[in-house]
Amino acid sequence: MNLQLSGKLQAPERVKAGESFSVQLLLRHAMETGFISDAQGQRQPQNLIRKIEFFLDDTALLRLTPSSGLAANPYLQISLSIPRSGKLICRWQDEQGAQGELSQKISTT
Amino acid sequence: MKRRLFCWAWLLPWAVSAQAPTEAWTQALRPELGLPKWPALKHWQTHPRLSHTGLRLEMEHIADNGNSVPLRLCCEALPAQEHLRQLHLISERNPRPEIFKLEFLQPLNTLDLSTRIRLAGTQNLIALAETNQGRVLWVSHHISVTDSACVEGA
Repeated sequence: MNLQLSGKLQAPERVKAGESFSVQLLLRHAMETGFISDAQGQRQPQNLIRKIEFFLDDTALLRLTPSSGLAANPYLQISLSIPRSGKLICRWQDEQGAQGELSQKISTT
Repeated sequence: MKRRLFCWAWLLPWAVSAQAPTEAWTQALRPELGLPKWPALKHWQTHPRLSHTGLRLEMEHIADNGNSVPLRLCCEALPAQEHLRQLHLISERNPRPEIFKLEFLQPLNTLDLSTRIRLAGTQNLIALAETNQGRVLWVSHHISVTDSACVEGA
């Protein structure tokens, strides 16, 4: 399975090099814990987002490894700083192979 | 007499369980006593450079719904040449204690992070931030959860 997960990435278009700015990420994902049963008593299989990574072009900036403790439809707001202009890319992948990517160009002054 | 006692004996287990609290009511941690002895904190328990300053965990003291509890984690600007390497958020009672691990792959000397987490009942949370200079900053927070996120797994 290789579904595109939907989400939204929000970051400023212009920032000062080396100064921190805020990035917001909202993903649509159930984050199935594997602990919940349906009305027939069948356990829903675990399906969590395994990792969420931020890159500036090819340079890795951050890696988040969540567990079942991260709420459904994960929301993340984090401060970042970048030394140069580039494309901020966010990639994520869940346990069933579904993955997604969002990006935004950021120029530094 | 013996016969009467025998008749009521089968009710004893029910009576005992009815008296027992249904949920262990955890107490807020006291930072001066150091990191608690949770198995999930074993790796940091004996760390020589634990520090209870610099990291801030902002969240409510009561949550109505454990399925989505907002929190904010901030770290004051670290001294020059020192930056964050990893951040861990550990829960006391969730079935999987580590809520998330955040790795900083480029030097970052401040932190401001907001997210939403699931909590399986009233408990303490501990955030730990490891720096490149070998220091571990930690902070704890006690939160009462009225409606647990995880009824079956907790």
